[in-house]
Amino acid sequence: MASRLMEMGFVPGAAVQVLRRAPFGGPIQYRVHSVSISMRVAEAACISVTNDAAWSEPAVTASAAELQVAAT
Amino acid sequence: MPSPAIRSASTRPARVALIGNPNTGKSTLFNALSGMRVRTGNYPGVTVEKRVGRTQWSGRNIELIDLPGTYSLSPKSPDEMVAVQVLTGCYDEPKPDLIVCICNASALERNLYLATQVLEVDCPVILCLNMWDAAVRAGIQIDTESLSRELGVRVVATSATLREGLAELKAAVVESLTASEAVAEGASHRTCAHAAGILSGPVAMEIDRLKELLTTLGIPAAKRSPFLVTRSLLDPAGSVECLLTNDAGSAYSEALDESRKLLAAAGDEIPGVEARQRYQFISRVLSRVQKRTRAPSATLTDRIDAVLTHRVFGFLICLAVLMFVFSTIYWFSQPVSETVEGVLGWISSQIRHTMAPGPLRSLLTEGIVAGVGSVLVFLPQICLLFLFIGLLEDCGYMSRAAFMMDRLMGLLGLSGRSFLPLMSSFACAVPGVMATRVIDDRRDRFVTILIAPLMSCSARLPVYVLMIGAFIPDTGLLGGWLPLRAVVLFAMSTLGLVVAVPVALILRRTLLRGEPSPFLLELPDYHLPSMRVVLLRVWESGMSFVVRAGTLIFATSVLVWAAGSFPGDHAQQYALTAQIEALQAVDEESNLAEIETLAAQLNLQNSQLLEQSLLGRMGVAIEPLVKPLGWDWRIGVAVIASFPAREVVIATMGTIYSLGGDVDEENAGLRDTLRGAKWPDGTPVFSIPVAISIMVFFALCAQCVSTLMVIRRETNSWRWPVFSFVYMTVLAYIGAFLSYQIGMRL
Repeated sequence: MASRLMEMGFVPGAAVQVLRRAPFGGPIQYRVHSVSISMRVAEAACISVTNDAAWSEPAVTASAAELQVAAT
Repeated sequence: MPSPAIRSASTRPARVALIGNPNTGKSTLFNALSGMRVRTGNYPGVTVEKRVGRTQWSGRNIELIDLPGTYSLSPKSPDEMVAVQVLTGCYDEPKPDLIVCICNASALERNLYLATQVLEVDCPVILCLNMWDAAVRAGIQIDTESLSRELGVRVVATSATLREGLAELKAAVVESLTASEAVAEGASHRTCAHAAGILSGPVAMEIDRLKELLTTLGIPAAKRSPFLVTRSLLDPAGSVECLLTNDAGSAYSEALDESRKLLAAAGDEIPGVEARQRYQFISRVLSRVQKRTRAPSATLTDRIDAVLTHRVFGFLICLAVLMFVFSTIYWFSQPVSETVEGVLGWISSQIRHTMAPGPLRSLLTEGIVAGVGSVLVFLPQICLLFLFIGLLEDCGYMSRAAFMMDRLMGLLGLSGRSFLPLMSSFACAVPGVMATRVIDDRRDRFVTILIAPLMSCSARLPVYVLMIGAFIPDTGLLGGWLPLRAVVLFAMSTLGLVVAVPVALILRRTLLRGEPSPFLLELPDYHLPSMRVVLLRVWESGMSFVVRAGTLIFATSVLVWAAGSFPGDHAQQYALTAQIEALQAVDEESNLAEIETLAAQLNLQNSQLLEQSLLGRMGVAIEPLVKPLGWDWRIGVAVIASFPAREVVIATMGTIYSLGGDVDEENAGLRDTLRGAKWPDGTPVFSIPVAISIMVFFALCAQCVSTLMVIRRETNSWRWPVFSFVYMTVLAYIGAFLSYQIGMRL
């Protein structure tokens, strides 16, 4: 699971942007390495991020973050 | 040193494999390169589709293999396993002669991950940067020359939708093939990954160490290529590790364990180290080769998504889109199906005019023509559904729909991708089951296929209408404004869906138990769908249905006709029919009275023949089984006869009760006859509990051979259709039993 996340781009040190959340508490859409990927909350839980307020995106209301994947 | 083997163009076609991430326009490119000469099939043992195209470029025969879209050569799904195995030369076919790795030029940061792995395969590679036009529009500049130098491979920019760059790609492929054939055998086409600087440090050292070990163990060069050694180290307990350990013995697997421990201690643990090093390599290369002249701001896709995936409106829009799709399919396919039935009816009547009544005529009209009709009737719906699926998938909306519906599907233990197939099954399970191809998780797909027939399909309606019309009183609930009949109809229609929830959850926990695969779904940029690709897919789906499932459906139809006609002496039936037709030919009006008497006799004959036939005898034989459900043998016969196709039950009931087979569910005569039907001891057969038990049986039973045959086609085995049939029949029996017994006590 962790290796799959990393292959898709969620590598330690990558910049991740949260885009939106699906209805009824569904999956969350992220942008990483210029690709848009969605995953369920349970899956997103194994990624830990540190916030980087310096990169703000006025056009899309989101929060940017630096990423570290927990080894599960 | 052996002299270079020069293969002539006419000996065997060169095998060129196309590999790439999903959503890189690979299919469009494949279709543009191979034209119509595409053969589809299955890889042995898995339900992964195989697409191979044959073409000729510059006089060379080329075989193009379209590998399934994959994110990495570290296989985690059957699709990726197939890709790895084709590249390493399993499946009794030689390795490809050339690999074309297709990337989305707008997303090289991620797409090159697979490319760096492909570069390690001992095979010439051409890098194809597809969707170049979209990259240009997004302000991305890529220096293909520099990229080519950095990676050591030819780089070609293409736009499959605009059909640009295809000539250059074809030329590059042919040149590469010619060049590689001139290379002496045994020489490697590509320097090892870590020599090119992708994998470095302790990892590279371990790979070298393992290679030396294999050399000393006497493993031939072809079986210890750098790619195989790398993958055996990086994919613990993977297929490549098993392959090499088989050949090299336990010494190798011990060495692998040692290496992994060493790397973990050095901070380069498997699997993290591969992703880290590759992405670092990619970002270094791209920093020298790619420039984004515009900051990655809110693209058009983002702006569209803000509306289409909005938490409230997005969801409503999704429902509206799907409603639109299904009503269009229904609205369009009805008249087409009716036209087809009309044509077949005309053919039947022509046959009746030219032939005297007899067994051959019956076989032709009621067996063969009806059999062909039962296959063709599904074709318009299937083609339309796949047209819509193709359009929605190609433009990128499908993944958004799966994204929004995921939580809802989670209640069934499934993922958002199951939504569309299950919704289609409400109209008809045949295209619905075929639509499960969009689900990539194997277990989810099978569960969806198994519960799809529970969705109340349109063929169940006539049964409900007949039973409700005849036996449910026309009263109103809640003070009279909510008709009881409507409530019962609604209950019956949703019964299947309600039952499907526990069934799906149980299946997921027992037979199809396994780790739920992660819902990592990529949401690609929106773009206009390519009509060529979509129409080709529609054609392929339609053809595969007719050829694979259609033949079986036709065969079953003829068999059932035979079971309902023989054994039996049809002489009187033929004589009466001939008399009626003679009178009709002469003058229908003045002979009306006589025709009607003859028709009544004919109906009686038909009823008796049905009783005597194999079908009828089966119905009588199972009467003790169906008595606890409140049914008599006539209902038993009608139900057995409707196993191939539910709609047949009405006509069969008409025949059994001597009303002729032309009645429909609205027929007042049929209703009255049913109300008046009695057991030998005089008590009425039908009552409200009996009517409900019949409806419940139909709601839950798999009485549709077409669906079962399509399940066979989609799962590539007989196990699953048989299982569907058995479990649903058991479920239906229990449901009908409970309804009747409880109903009688209320």
